[in-house]
Amino acid sequence: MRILVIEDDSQAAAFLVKGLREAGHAVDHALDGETGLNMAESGGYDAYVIDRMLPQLDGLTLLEKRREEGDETPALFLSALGEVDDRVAGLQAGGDDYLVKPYAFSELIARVEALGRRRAPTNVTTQFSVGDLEMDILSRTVRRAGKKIDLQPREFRLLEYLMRHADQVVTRTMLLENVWEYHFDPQTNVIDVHISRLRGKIDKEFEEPLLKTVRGAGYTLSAES
Amino acid sequence: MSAPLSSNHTVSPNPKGPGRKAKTGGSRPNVFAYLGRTLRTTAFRFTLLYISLFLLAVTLLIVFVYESTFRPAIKQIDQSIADEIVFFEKVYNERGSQALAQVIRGRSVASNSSIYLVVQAKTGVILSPGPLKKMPPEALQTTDLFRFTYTPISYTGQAGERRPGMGRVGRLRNPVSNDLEYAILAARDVYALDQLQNNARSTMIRVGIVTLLLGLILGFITSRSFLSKVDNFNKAVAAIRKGDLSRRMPVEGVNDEFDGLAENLNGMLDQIERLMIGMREVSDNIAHDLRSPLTRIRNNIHTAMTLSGEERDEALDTLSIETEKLLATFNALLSITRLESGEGAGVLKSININPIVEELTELYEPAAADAGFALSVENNEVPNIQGSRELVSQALSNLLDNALKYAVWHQGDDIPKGEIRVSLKKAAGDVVILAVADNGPGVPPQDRPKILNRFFRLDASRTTQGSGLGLSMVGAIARAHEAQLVIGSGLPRKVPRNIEEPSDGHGLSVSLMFKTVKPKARKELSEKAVSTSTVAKQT
Repeated sequence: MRILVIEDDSQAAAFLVKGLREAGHAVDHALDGETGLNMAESGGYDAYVIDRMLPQLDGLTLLEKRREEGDETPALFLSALGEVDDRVAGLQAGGDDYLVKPYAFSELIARVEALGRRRAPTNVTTQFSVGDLEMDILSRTVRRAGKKIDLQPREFRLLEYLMRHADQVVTRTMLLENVWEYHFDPQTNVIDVHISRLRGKIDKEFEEPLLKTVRGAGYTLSAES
Repeated sequence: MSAPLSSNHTVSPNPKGPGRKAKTGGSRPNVFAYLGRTLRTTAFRFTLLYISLFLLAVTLLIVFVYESTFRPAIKQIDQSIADEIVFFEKVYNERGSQALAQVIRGRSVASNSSIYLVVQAKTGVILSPGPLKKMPPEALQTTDLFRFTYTPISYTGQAGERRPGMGRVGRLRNPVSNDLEYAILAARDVYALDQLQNNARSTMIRVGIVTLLLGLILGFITSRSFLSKVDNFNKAVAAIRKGDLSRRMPVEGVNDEFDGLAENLNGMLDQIERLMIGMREVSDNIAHDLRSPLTRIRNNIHTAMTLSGEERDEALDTLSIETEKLLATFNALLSITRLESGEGAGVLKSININPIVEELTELYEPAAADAGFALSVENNEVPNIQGSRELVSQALSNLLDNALKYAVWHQGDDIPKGEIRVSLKKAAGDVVILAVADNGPGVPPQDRPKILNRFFRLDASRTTQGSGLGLSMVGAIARAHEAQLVIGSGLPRKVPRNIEEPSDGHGLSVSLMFKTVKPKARKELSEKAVSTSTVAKQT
């Protein structure tokens, strides 16, 4: 992916750029809003990572301008302002995701990669498959190796999200935000327990596990071992 | 007023001065300063204004009484005298001087207060009886009513004190030659009237003086009490500025506007004090709760640097988890601080808690079951509250986390199952109660107020996991919602014999009492929503 990072804190930016490059992405970096806007206008990016508070031109305005121009490149806001209203303001300005500082880098990279996927027209897809696991959104059925698996509604939504982001790291916070639509970090391992229940249904009786734990980051649904 | 007085005493070489000055010593300037301050107070100025207005009213009253009482009386006297003189002229013209003298004599006998004098112009012979033996000098200067004094003659023939009179002079002319024949003075004794007038005037003046004095005294007293109240406020503020944050404005319990002000200020000071104490606690606790994980992380880094291969990766993984926990703690601290500063709550909307309870218990049910808890839900339908879905769900999540973490039973054979009960119900007085109760070891009543403090944990060694911020976050969320937070006894414990019971036989229960949205507020809200949506459409 080609990613544009617009962040005025040069140290944080250097860390971000380095980390994203190590994860195999091409990264450009702007230190202020004006430069960032110019670079975005030149086009060709798969995702933007924008700090909300920038010198010269703040992040919200920057993205609003791009959206007015018809630029639909997915954007992730970084902000020290983490309350609900701030988040809403960020999403209203055209942001696709919102991450509050301080954040874990694994969280950021998972979200940026999820953004890249969003461009693919997944919305119209009603059938997913990962390895021999198949899901049909319309009939709400899940099969593995042809065998029907019964899932609770929430388990179904959980698996659906994982399948939409197959081969990609999904963090616990992303799951809580997208499957339960809550924006907080529970101290208890509530998500882990839901995952292990899901695992019990889709992986237990099969040789090859599909739902894997990524240490220090989250989970990934993948057929590759 | 006070300044010249005090300077008089200190500057002028008054022979008595030094002695008196020495006697009263340093208190004198203070007394004058105090007096001066009293006189300058707003209350005293108002009093002065009122007194002036009152005096003006009294003066107007006097003028009015005078005009409506004494002036008509004098006018009446004048009229009767003028009529008399016309009558006398008529008598003289028709019947001559002897008849006139007779009429006048008759009249002076009939009326004690009537005074007459008839003087023949040519000879100066007096035809009338009575006390006047010559024309008073005032009579020569006017043809109008005039005042004069005369000496009455008592029945014993002795002269008394001079008395005031009021009269007119008529001139009787010869009907043929038109020569001046007689000058005639008709007058009344006005001693009684004057007396009445004097009495009235002095009464009014006395009333005025008394009013003025009373007003001044009253003004002085009110300004003094005003001043002492302000002084007390000033003292309290000065003490607070010096750092005594527990000091409060004096409330006298008389429910006046000063008490209202004091209560308001005290409410503000309570909040400031709470914030300050919170800050102090945080900085105290940061030492322990943030420094020790940081130290651990640093040590782990050092260890990791000496390792290689898989061991190194494992150490780094641990490090990463450790730092993430630290970050979570920081985030929680930040959120609490935001909430308490009043900026973090965002816009509170009318929300329904029922789905929150349903979704969160569903979210926590597997984790609870795994940890060996029976999680039961009593989700009664409740009216909407004014709140934030995010914050209420965060609070419930923290309470569930807390129950899962601390309501554990120690290992043993015949240990009953842990229970957690979430209940949502409507209570009297438009209150919605969201409660989480457990049958864990509970919290001793004396420790209950403390569990909302940041980083507070029951075991001082802080061995159990968790940041110690969960309940303080709940407390902050409750305050942001103006909800009452009640910490009480939870579910009863069926304690097996081999376990020593630390608390009162009940677990812990934490209840949040939200106020329901009032119909009026709901209407306002929807109006607001309409207006913002129309704005949005325009833009």
